[in-house]
Amino acid sequence: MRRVRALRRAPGVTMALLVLLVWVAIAVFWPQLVPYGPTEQELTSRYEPPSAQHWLGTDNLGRDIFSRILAGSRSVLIVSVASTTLGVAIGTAIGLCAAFYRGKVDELLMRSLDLLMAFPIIVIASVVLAMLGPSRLNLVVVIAVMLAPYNARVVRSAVLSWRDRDFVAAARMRGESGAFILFRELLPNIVGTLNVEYTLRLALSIFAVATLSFLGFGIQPPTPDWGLMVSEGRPFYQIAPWVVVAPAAAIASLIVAINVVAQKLRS
Amino acid sequence: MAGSAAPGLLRYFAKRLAVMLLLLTLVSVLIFAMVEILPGDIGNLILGQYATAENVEQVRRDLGLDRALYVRYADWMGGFLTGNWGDSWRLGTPIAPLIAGRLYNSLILASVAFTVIIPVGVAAGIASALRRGKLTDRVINGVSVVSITIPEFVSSMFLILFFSLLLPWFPSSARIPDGAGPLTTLWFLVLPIVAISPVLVGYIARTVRASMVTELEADYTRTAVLKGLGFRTVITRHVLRNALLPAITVIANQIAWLIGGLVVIENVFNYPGIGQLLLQAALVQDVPLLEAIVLILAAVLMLSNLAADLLYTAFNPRVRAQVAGGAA
Amino acid sequence: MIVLLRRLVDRVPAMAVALLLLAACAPISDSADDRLQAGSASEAASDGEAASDGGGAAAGAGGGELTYAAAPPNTINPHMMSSLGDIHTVQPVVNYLVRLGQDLSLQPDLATEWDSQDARTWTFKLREGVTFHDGSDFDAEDVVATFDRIVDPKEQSAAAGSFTFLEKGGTTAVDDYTVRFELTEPVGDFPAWVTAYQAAILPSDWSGNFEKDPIGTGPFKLAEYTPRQGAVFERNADYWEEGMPKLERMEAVYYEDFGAQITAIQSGDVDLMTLLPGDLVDTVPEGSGVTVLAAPSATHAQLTMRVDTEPWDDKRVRQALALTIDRQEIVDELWAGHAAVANDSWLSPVYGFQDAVDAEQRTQDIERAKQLLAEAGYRDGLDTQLVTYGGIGIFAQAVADMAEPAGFRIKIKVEPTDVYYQHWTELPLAMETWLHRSSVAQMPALSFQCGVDWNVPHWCNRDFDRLLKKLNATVDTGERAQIAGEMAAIMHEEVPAVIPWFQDTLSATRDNVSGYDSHPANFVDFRSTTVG
Repeated sequence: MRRVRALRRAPGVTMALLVLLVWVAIAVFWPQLVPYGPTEQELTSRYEPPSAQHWLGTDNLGRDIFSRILAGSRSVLIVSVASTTLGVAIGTAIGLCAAFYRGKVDELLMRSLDLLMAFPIIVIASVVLAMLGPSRLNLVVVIAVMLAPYNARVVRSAVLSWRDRDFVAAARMRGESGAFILFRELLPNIVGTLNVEYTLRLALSIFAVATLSFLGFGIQPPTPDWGLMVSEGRPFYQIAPWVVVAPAAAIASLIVAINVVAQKLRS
Repeated sequence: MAGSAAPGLLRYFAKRLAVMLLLLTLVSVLIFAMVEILPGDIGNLILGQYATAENVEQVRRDLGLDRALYVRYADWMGGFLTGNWGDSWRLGTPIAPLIAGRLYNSLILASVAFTVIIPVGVAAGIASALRRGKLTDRVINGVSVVSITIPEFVSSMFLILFFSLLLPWFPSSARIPDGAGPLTTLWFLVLPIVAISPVLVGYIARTVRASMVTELEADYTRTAVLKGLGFRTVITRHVLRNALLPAITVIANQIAWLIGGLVVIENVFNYPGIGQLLLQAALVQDVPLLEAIVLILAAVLMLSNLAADLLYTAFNPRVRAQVAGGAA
Repeated sequence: MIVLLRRLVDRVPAMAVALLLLAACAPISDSADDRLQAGSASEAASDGEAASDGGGAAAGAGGGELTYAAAPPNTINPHMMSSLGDIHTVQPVVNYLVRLGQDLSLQPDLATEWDSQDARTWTFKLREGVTFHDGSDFDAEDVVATFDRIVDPKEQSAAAGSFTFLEKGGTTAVDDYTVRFELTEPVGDFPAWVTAYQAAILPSDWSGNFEKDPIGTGPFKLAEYTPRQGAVFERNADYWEEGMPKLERMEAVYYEDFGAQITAIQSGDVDLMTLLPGDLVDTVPEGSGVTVLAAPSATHAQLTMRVDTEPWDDKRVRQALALTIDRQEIVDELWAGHAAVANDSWLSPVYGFQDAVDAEQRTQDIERAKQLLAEAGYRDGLDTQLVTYGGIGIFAQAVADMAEPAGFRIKIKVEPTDVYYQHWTELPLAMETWLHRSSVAQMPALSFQCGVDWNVPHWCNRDFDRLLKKLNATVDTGERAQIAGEMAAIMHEEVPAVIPWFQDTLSATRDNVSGYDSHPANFVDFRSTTVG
């Protein structure tokens, strides 16, 4: 509760939360908000600059960019939230087990995670997606798997600091099972850490989704996707910069907003 | 280094090396299994779109793809270790020189980048630690946060737009011509390096800042200052040495990213690095090339981590003693 | 060490400023083209290394140096080429018996004249005094060896499919400078067939590896080749054509996609793009420093439908799809006018036979399309998937969008080119581009004849095949026009593939490049090109 009040007192963070809220609302209500269908083509009006009819101009097939930005918010948010949730879940489970059981289990898990973490995220993700083929589901799973190790590490250290407390020993003496101790005793104490973790991973996830769809591994055309829009607009950005600026600004606003919130939660 | 500590140290690193080799073998098995199980018609990949059905079958037989999995693995690993990395399916040319060339390019980019990133990052970290809480600190932190949030593909494209297209200062493709001297090479690499740097500089700056602050507020620092040693002397003789150590680990991690992870930068600037080669190999499922690159990258990563560990241990007396003394 | 480090730290701000100043002092010029030459000149001065022809120091042709952007080759073995990237790297190095001119005429290249009495036996007289890059003389043995290699089933050349009427041993040397081809069936325009891009003439003792032995007779020698990265060409001083080539040196830079290529030509990093996609013409408008070059051609995109699978087995469904497309709009908007409307047959106006086609030009008619679909049992429309590859994804999107009002709900799947071509002949609905063929009979033989490997629609029409045979056997142009016209009418009616346009071959150069033009078959010809 104290945390929430602290949040409200900082104006920067309030703005960030507002931005996030707006994007979530757009993701939910875009069908009602868009002036044009996001895949509606008008070949005779390609690359029109922003105007009264097209607030953010049109793209290479005459589609309204404003509508495409609004529509694109849904897939970005769904994929990043899904992959972050999955990743944090997997990572937390691994971290809890490693920290609780220690010994060989811990060694094995941590070493494997080290291995995974050594490779840059985008590299592994691109390679796997290139081989499996791009699809939303693959994207979610791949990003989740890439995020999990970072999370596992943090959870593990958090749990380690709690593990040797009295209440844990007490629970063990009572004969409670490992799983019980993990989930009923230890987990509730690291919720705070988890919150921070979640927001940090979410920022990373959005970053990854945008980059992977820029490279062509995300949502397939003609469904609107911000990263893809930047990539498709690239040859034109000297004569029609709005095609690239709009999606880039959308991506940036989302990432910055989440990072600001994450920073605040951390302190 | 103390002579008596050497055997302990050596044992420690021998052990680490052994673990590394084991992990590499594991990686090789994993990548081989993963990739060989994939669907996709190799024949068409090699012979192009006009291949006929019989030719495709012939190709499969020629490549020995009808043999058992473990036979193929042994063959592959054996060849790899003796320097015979086979041919790329798509290009029909030997893999080793292909990878060597691209790796060399990536190493050049990484080295030039580091000559900028390390000094700037360390300086920024030190400056923010010394002036913590003040404007300098805030500005550096702000820039760092912002730079991390902007994806490279966005910043790269805008750098090209402003400094190559609108203001014709730099080339838009980082294609260094043959026989170019160091200055020309630098000129071609300026934009990619500016695109890469902020994130890495930010990480280094933050690590250095954090560890410096810890050292600055440690007891021994205060004691030293109270004893009459000049602040400057304290900083340079004690604080810096301890503060810069964690930076070594961060830098080692970044080596991995700078060599294999610049897929986006290489794409936007058309730089012929190893990241692009990996991506292309994955896209068309050029299996031998894919396996070779992943293995090489894994080796490079592990080696740089090991090297970082070496340096860290060598320079950190506490850890050195620990390692040499018992934990072997 | 710490002291040094500290001194370094103190100096960092100064170093940073110095670096920036250095960068800012990099040659700033009005013309982006000066930049590359200025760069190499300054490097020569300051680094003391020999300048590589940057300042026109070499004697000779004085055409300068050219850097061009192209797709990376998958192979540079001339007989195995199958993609444009391959062609754009190999062609400067080789010659053919007959050259396909930019105006689609057949020009003598390594052959000076040719003749046949019965369209089955062809005699070619060869040019004397030509030498290969390794110094050996060119003669009939080289031609024999080349064609034997091409049609040898063991070599698995991509061209074998084109030369079904020539067998190994069918090519013989009558004397040092005369070659005879004995075909298994009459082919009226055989000289047009030998312009095929894989039929580059190589030495009889060629090793089979073009990377090690890039031995041709062409205007340029391949000095360096780095797969998927670039290539360097040097002027062949002993080239047999007078006054050619003009360029001293060329460099090819490979790009995996067009985004980076466009940026490169806009900024002057490259002087020429060998292929400019139609939808990107607007990126280099008038006055941007780039000139767009167009050549009308028979190149077209095919929207192929498997006539042996549902729903495309019903002719009405195929015709319905053909009726949804607003061909003129695509030509005007997505090709900026650099295309011609097509009528669902391969017979492009460039062949000169279009007047013989007795079929009305199809235009967009959504109502009729809906009607046909309803008659075929799809009153509520139908759902299907269109598979294509990255380079033409935008056209697939345009087409799918146009088909929607009629009830076609088309989902698009874009695959990497290599992956697409691994299974393209199995796809129920697919879209790919077919390059211009010099002989009017070649395209139908390759892709619409019953039972051939690349008959993507799996179409089988006896009349069509019969007419194709007749076409090959006929030499008289008027008669050939008639036959071709009949074939086109059949295709128009049966619609095995929707063919909405014939696109011009487009390429682009910076304004200071002259002596280069687009070629209908997207061949490259740098013989008269100069820079600056």
